[in-house]
Amino acid sequence: MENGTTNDIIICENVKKWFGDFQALRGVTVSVAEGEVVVIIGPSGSGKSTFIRCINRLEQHQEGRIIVGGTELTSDVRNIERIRSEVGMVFQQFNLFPHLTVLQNITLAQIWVRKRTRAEAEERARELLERVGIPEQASKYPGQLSGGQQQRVAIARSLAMDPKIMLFDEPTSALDPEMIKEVLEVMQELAQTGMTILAVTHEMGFAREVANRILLFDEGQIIEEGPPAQFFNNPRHPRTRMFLSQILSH
Amino acid sequence: MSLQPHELPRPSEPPPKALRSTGINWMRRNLFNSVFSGALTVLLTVGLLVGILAVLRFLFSPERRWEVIPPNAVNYAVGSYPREDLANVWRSVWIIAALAGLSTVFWGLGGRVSLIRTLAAVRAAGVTVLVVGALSLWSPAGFAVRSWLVWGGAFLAAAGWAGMRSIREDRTFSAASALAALLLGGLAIGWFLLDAVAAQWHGRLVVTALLLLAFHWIGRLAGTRISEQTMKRGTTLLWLLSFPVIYLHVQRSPRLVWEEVTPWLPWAGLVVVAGLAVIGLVSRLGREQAAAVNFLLGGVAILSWAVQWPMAIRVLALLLTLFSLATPTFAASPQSRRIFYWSWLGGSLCLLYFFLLGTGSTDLATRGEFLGGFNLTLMLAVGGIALSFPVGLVLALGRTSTMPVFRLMSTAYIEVVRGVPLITVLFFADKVIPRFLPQGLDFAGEAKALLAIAAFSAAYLAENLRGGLQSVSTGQFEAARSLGMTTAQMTMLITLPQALRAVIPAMVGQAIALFKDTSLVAIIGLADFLRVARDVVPNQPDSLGSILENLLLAAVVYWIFAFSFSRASLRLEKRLGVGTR
Repeated sequence: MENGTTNDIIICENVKKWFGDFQALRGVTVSVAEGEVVVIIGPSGSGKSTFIRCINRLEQHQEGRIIVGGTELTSDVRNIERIRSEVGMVFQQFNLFPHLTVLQNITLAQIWVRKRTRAEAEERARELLERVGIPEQASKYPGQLSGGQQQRVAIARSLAMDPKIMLFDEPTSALDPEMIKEVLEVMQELAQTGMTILAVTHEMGFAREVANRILLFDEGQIIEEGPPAQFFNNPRHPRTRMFLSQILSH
Repeated sequence: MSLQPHELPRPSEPPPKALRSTGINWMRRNLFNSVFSGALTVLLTVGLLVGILAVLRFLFSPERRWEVIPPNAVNYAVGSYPREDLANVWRSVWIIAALAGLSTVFWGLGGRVSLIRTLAAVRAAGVTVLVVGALSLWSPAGFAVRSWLVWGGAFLAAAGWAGMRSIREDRTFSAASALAALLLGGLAIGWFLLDAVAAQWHGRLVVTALLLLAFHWIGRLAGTRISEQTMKRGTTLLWLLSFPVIYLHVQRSPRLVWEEVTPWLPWAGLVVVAGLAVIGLVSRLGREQAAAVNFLLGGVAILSWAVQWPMAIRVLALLLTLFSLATPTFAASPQSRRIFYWSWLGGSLCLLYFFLLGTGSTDLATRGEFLGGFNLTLMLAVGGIALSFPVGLVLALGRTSTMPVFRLMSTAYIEVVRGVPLITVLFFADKVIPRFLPQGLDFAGEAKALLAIAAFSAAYLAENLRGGLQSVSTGQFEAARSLGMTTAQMTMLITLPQALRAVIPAMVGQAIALFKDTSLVAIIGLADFLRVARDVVPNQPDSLGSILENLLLAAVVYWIFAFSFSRASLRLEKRLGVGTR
């Protein structure tokens, strides 16, 4: 899986990124195949969120190459919007639009970006609300929902664009323990449908069960990568062992 | 997935009943809960009574000549508008009444009013009138006035109290019928009280009230057939149209001199049609060819000022150059091209429309000050708010934009205008702007005042809006971007709706300030409402020197409008507050 085969949907080569003088990414090279579920873990400040945000260009990398779905992300990509609409993203803080109802949250981009009719968009939205298990909340405002429900709406909102890739940026970190499970179930179901997923998460259970591959980030680079079985039971790098012992000990 | 219902050790209980709040109880808890607050209550009550008494003594003093106000109602309403053309003003009142009738459908007047709360309000009003009536015994008020206050107040209080006693269960009635009853009752009382003046207007006032009610019902009937969104958009459009229609057609009643128009009108029509072709062409060309066409157009537009073409053609050519410059960026897809065609048609036809009316003379008996009194104040306030909103919006977006030139220009404008008093801006508009315009072209004083007020207000509005724009969290932008929205879509659909909601209180405060600041236009020679009260009415032969009465009336009228505006905005806030975080 190391270097680009033909069905690699994301190819990153030696990606570097600085915030002022601080180097957040120190040369990240990784490829993700279509339908693969990749979980990214690592201590806070290790650059994992920055990396995932570079893939839909919410952050701009300064060196190296990122190729998403055959298009290289550079500063003169004219229709970055088209690429972004193929890459869904779910945020730690949900970022639902508070002035719109749940249904409007899900239909808005379908109508304006995908140019669907209102009827089509609403049908798709209701279908997705059904799939994430909250069809009865369609006419409520985000502020009236629990955190877990909000995050599931956010997932439905991304899925409504029919993306080829889904990025999850710590989707369960702002949730109560009771609600984490309902979001993870949705993500797990999504993985089983063959969606390409890149997820930054601290949910080791999810990583172990669902991921095809786990990446460990530290100080802006990937220091260990491999399938879950190998990653958890037989890590090669001492840093990995230390990290695992810290998060699995309690 | 859902939680499994399971047995909890203790079922939930109803909350404890609140202590019955009797009058004595309430006073002990709120007015006399400590020695200090008791003393304060007594002191403030005495102060309040003394104040009311002073006001009553002023109002009912034998020197007051309140009877001079009703005969001056026309002066107050329209200033020096020719009296033989007053029918024009009534027509514009009827247009506004009809539109207000339509709008009442959305103002929640389809809702219902509680009977108990209405009766409580009647009781409270009655008690207030009764107290004022009792105090008036120590004022120079005449016997008739005192009796009316005392007996009227007592009757209202008793009616409210008895009504509340007699009904056991609350009932509701429709707000629309309450409005109709209030309106007709007000008319009847007005007929009775102002009978000398109102007699000649009574028919017209009845027409106004009937139009209001009729269009309310038309709106409700239409609401059953068309969607609410279409209704709202249509009504908003009608309100926007009503402004130029009232002030350019109905009240100014222009008469076109066709001999002056015919030499250039066909050419202007040709430019409009040619504009469609140019936009169609430029949107299909490559970057370089489009730039060449734009260069050519710009040359023609600049040249047209040198060769003294008719003014309308010159301005149309400039507008076309602007449109053509924007075409490659904004009209690339067939859909946006269609929007662009319509914007060009709308923009150029609007321009022609204003030119035609500007060149037309008017049927009014006297030319010049066709606006005055409250009519002028209202025109300046409504027009100022309506014009300053889009300008302020552009300035606010400019100041928060990432484009350096746009940001610099917006910032410079805002800082310059905010650093200058409104009076300066008014003088500037009145004296300096004509020098920059081509020879022989000048706006009417009203138009210059309107532009000055709008330009001034836009700078303040822009700063308010900027605060709103900055209150939208970055997460919102990231979510919008991750869904593939363009910057324009993000601004229109995500940022602005949230920003506007956040700054409603500030914007309403500014609109009220603008409404009151319109009184400054007196300084460039316009006769607005306050100036009529201060200069015009006290100089009429039959009301000579009645300055105090008229200033008090002006204050009350300004307050009524400002206060109802502030109440209306509270309702709006409440309604929009549904989705707040």
